[in-house]
Amino acid sequence: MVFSNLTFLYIFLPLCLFFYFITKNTAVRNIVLLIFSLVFYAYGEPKYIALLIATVLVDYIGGLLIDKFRGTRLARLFVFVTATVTLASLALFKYADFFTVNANSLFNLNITPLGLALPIGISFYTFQALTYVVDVYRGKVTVQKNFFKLLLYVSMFPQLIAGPIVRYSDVDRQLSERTVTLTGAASGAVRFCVGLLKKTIIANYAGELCKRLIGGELTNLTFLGAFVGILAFTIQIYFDFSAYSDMAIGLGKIFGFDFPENFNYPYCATSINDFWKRWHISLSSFFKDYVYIPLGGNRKHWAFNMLLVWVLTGFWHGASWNYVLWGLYYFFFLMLEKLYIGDALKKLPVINRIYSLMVIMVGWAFFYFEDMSRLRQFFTALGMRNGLSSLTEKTVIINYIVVIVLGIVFSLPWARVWRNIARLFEGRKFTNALLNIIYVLFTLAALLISTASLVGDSFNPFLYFRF
Amino acid sequence: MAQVEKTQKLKPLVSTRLCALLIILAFAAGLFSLFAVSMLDTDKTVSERDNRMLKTRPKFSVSAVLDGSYARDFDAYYSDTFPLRDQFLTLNNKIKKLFSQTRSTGGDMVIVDFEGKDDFAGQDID
Repeated sequence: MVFSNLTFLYIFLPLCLFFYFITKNTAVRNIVLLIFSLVFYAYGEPKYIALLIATVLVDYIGGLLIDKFRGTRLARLFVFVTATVTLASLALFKYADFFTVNANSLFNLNITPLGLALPIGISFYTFQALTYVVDVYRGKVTVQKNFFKLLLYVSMFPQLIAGPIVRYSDVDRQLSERTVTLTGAASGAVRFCVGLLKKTIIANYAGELCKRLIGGELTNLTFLGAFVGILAFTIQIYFDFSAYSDMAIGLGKIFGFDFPENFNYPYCATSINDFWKRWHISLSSFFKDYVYIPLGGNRKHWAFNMLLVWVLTGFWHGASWNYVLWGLYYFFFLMLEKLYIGDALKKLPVINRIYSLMVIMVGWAFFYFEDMSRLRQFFTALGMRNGLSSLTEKTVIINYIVVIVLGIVFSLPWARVWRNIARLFEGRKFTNALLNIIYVLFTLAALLISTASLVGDSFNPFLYFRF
Repeated sequence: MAQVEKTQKLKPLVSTRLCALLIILAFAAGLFSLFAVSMLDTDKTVSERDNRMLKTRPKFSVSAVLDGSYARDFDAYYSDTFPLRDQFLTLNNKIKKLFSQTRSTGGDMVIVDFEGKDDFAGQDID
């Protein structure tokens, strides 16, 4: 199931909220949340629920063994085995066919691909499970003796299919003890509505524009079409992905959980290094803490560590060469900044932002086009080989101008501005009431508009089926 | 990382209890009212607006649930028979017009109407 879906919003969510809040007992609430999470996952793809539970079982047993043999060599062995088995399911379901196809063409073999469907959210939940066993081994968290609590942590529906990658240490205590406050739940509801609106309005319409410009035949694509096309994708992927995180964090708050922030206005980055501290933060920090630093970090062969991390980061986004290329592209710019231009960029206030944004936008082309020949066609167009603009493209762009403007405007840190404005309102009675009315109206309007676009069955893609 | 920590330390967006209560009521009212109506109302079978038969509730069977087709069919049925469907569609068309409207730019530009198929379906075309 996904969030931007009527069955989720108007059957699943009300029922889940109802059963969750009829009791104040955290243990009962955990059971409610677990049952609903499993239904959420199984809805539409029931067979892979067994894989999810099996993965958690492996990590549960692994955690117990690591704890039992703490300080001995066996603990090391068990963390290695558990992590390998957990990653093996990812390798089998996500990457096996990629390697088969490549080996076939490289060595003239004839191995039949497995043809397994990718279990939804597998890249997210396997990483979450990994943070648990590794942190138990490192002694950062205490071992979880209750299997169902571990299962709840991994399968919790707000973050199950599109992140953020919540670490076990983030929610460790909240699994047993948490309080839902009125203001927390209200902030969560507003945050959820913000996400819903970002997804159904900005992301989906930007996606439609992107598809019109660069989703079809590319032979007649001009510079303008290529530029605005990739700009539209830049808007779409940010508003889609961050909307999922907003909805996840919002739902988490409603249930009394604090999930980590995942996006921090990434398009305001002043360098590529800065961008990766603002984009999909839970993923980049996962790679930093669970891959880069264990490899030796900055102390041992750091350049190699960086290379490996960025190949893996790219590959994590999909089992296809273009994602590897996308990772290497970022490796190149991060090295460039680290070795040569990093200091210079800091002294160039506006230019550094333009540079970052251009690098990011061109980067999305590697992400968007899985087919290398289409990628080449796109860059031919961007290189102005097919002319500057065409009438058809201009017309399409003008038709969608509202979403482009909204996308750009809301990529700026308005929430901070709004918080400052809200502070001014809060002191006095009259303005405070006004503020309350604004929030309530926003919540209702967001629900209404999102529902309308879901009923209208508009363009509503799920972008993370390759993750 | 420093910036993230800064945003997390900020006070919650909604800081007064009354405001919080009103928001929760609005949110819950929205979800629960449409849930209740969608469960209790009798489903329409025909859409005059679209001039077609609406989808019916899929037959429950274990095999359909297991292969995922039940979920797909149920989503389609639920959206087709959603409360106030016609009103929501009207609102959606207004939003669509705003976002993907065919605008005249003057001159001899050709305006291509990609959307607006709904406008012709059933009514305006005849």
